[in-house]
Amino acid sequence: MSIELSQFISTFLEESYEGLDIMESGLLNFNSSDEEAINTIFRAAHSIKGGAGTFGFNEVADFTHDVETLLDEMRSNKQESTPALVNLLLESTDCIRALLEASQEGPEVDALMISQVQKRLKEVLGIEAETTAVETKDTSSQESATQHSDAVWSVHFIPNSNLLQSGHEPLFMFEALSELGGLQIEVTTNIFPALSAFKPEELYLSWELLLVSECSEEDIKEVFEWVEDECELNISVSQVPSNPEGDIDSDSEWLIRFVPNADIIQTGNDPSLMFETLFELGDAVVTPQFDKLPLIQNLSADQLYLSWEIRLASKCTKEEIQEIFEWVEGDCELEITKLPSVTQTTANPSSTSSVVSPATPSNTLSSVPEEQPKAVDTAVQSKGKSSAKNAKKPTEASSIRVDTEKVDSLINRVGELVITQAMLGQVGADLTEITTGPEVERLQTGLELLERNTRDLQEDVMRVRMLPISFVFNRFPRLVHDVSGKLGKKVELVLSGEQTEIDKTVMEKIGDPMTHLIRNSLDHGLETPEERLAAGKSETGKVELRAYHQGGHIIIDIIDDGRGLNTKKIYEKACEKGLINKDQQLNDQEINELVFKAGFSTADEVTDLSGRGVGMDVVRRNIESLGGQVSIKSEPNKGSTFSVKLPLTLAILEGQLVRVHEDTYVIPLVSIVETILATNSAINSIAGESKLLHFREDYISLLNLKNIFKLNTDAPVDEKESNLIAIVESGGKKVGLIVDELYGQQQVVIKSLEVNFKRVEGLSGATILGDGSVALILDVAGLMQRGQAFEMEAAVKEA
Amino acid sequence: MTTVNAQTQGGDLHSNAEGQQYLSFLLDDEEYGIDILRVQELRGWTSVTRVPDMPDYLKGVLNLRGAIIPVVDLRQRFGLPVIKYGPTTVVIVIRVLSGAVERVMGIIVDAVAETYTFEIDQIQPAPQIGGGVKTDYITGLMAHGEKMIILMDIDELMNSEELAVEELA
Repeated sequence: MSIELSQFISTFLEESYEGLDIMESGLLNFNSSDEEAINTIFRAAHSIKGGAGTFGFNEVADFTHDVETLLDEMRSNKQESTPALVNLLLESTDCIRALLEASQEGPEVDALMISQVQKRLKEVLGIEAETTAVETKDTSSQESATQHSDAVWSVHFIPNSNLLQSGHEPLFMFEALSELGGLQIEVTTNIFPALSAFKPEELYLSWELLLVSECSEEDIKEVFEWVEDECELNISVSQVPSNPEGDIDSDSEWLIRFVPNADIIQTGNDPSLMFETLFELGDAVVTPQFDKLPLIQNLSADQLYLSWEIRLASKCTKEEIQEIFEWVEGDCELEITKLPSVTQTTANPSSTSSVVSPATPSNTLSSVPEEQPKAVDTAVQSKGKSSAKNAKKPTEASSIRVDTEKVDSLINRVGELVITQAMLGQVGADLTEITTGPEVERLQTGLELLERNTRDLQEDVMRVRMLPISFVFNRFPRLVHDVSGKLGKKVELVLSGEQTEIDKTVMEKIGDPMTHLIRNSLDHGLETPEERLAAGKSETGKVELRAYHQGGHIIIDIIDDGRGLNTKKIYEKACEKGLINKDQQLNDQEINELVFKAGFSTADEVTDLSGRGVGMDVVRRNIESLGGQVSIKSEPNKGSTFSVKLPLTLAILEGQLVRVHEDTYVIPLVSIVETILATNSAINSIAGESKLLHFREDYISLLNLKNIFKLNTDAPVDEKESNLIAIVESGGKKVGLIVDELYGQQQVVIKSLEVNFKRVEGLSGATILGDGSVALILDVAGLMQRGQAFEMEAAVKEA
Repeated sequence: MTTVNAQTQGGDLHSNAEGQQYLSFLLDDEEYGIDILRVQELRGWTSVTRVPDMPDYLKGVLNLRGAIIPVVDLRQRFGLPVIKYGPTTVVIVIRVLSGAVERVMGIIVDAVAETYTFEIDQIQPAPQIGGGVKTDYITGLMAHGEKMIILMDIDELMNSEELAVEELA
């Protein structure tokens, strides 16, 4: 086999990064009593190591090997998992990531850091690594060498949920196993997630296989060789008892058919409670039967139409089982039969008969979330091929990966369609003014339908680009962990609304401002544990990230329950830095807004995390460049809330169309505070030009677009200066734009000027209006700068 | 509005060694030639949206089936007298290589004249013109009967001054 390995390297890297993410999130939520969590982390490390070895990333393989060894010791309780150890492991994931990145033309690795971390790993491990990789989870009874004639092998096969995605088919493995001997397959469905979390391409099944064969453990392992890294495999040999009948000491299998009457629920009995009691007796597989289910129109909510078939492997007696159903004896049909021993039910009846022992501890059962009633568990018990069929179902793809370019081009096309539709609508409207008739009416109806359909289409297409905000949120647990560790603060991070969807482009750009805000909350907002206790709060501070939709926007709140903003300190600092004048009287809200000023920082000393004064103003600028806003609410000793308001998409903008002279411009609605028709007395002229507007106790400067855009007009100058003023806001500053006329408000598709032209200060782009003409979109922040530059120029000229 | 689509799809943007085709147009009785493979389409004059604070020759931007493209009046660019746009006024939509990216732009000319095929060795080099006239974008001269055709490098022309690609900040 000469397969060019290099083509798989990118896949390996991708998977490794995923693996690292899994490790990281696993470590962050680490809880030493959770066996499954550490197994997950271990598996991720193990596959990275395996892949790295295969593809020749020896450094990665070596390093990961130590990590894996440590994890294995933690798993087997040889090492106690302390927070320090978890931190070491987290650092190790960083090292692995750095090594991987370095291998693909990434930045040079910090060899010192790597070797230090590796050294610490080895220290923790004690002696220089003598253990080799642990391939599969050792079970207590590893009687691997035994060459029993016809032993009963119990194989517990728990594949990773993405097993099918990597192209493996459990069915084939089972077929291979059945060639080794008589095989009985049982499906376990207890890791089924809630329906809402169900992903069709994932595999939630696991299997318990009983194999009667004279093969060795190696033979069985070989069958699973390809999926070794992607599953948990427990192979153990069961006892081969000589006495198949009625041995009370060993487990026997019971088949219970439980057919309750339809009104059993009304009598207050809950089958799921009985099943739980059954589970206490031993391993049970509950299979609901739906044959009594009536047509949907005959369905009655308080009637029970299900019946169950339960297979119970337990040492118990028939009486014990009957006892469980004692209360419903009169309300159901109950059949309890002892099954003939296992091997007789397999395909190979000539094998030595044996009784099945509970092949694996029932720890998997306990992992079923408690709130999920067992009766609803659609446990399926099937044999052989049919089990594989069930496993196949989730593979039907419900999502596809598409190049974003394709999506963008689709969005563009739809944008064109919307413009064309608007154009046609205009023509239709014009037509109705000059003529009437049934044809015109039909045309109108058609046009209306077209409008609705194009709008819907546009909305749908826009949604294609939307992704849940969890993609951004996911990086924050790690951030909080690291930062709080550095600061010596105890922090609980609460995330909510992670499923809120937001445009991919917005999401890519919101990560950094969010990171800054969260750091800020941790550093400045939250107090140290001692301070918190002194203030009568719990030791652990809380930072909450909450995302939700509100009127065409997404709002992300960053809430901390810390000390709140110190208005007095902010005021003093601002005075000190000359951001405000000493005699300026500000209310608390205005003082809070000061933190967004450039060059502002209240931290008494510059820390690694914040305090350098480049901070909140950058956050605000970044968010505003996305067409968003950031605001702040704070209460002393209760905490502060930063609210980030963002448009759902960058492709469309709610705009106010205005006329300036003979051109049409679009002002983003989000930046308009108000539009007013000012009285002459409210406009104060300075040196003959309208410069200041008296607006609600405030003087705000006016910008005349004609001047700052240098629109040289060939029209007569006698046109009276307009009094129509759009008050716009950016960066906490307000200015008034003098416009000649207000047109309508409409959604416009944003087109870049840069693609074929260049960026123009004061403009954020262009759009195409219904008549096919181009209108420029104003960028308020840029306009302000342009205005300032214009004033300077004018001043220079006059001098 | 007439739109002629030049069949340039998939055409090589870089000139071939022999028999290069040129599209010629008129500007104040002068005839200029540009590489025909760069011409995307020809369209009649329609009003454009002016962009603030731009030199006079940059007339504004135009909606070309959803793309916003800048339009340059070549007369004004060359300092020729301004005339009113008439029925023969044509916007030639060209593809300009600006560094690594390809930009689409329009140039306004008096009229489109002809297409020619010239052998490379027929082309005479542009003479040095004194007096501060910028001739960077003139690649050569071509005599065709009585006429002289000025061959231009549109990349050089359209990436200069206001249209220069900004360094990414």
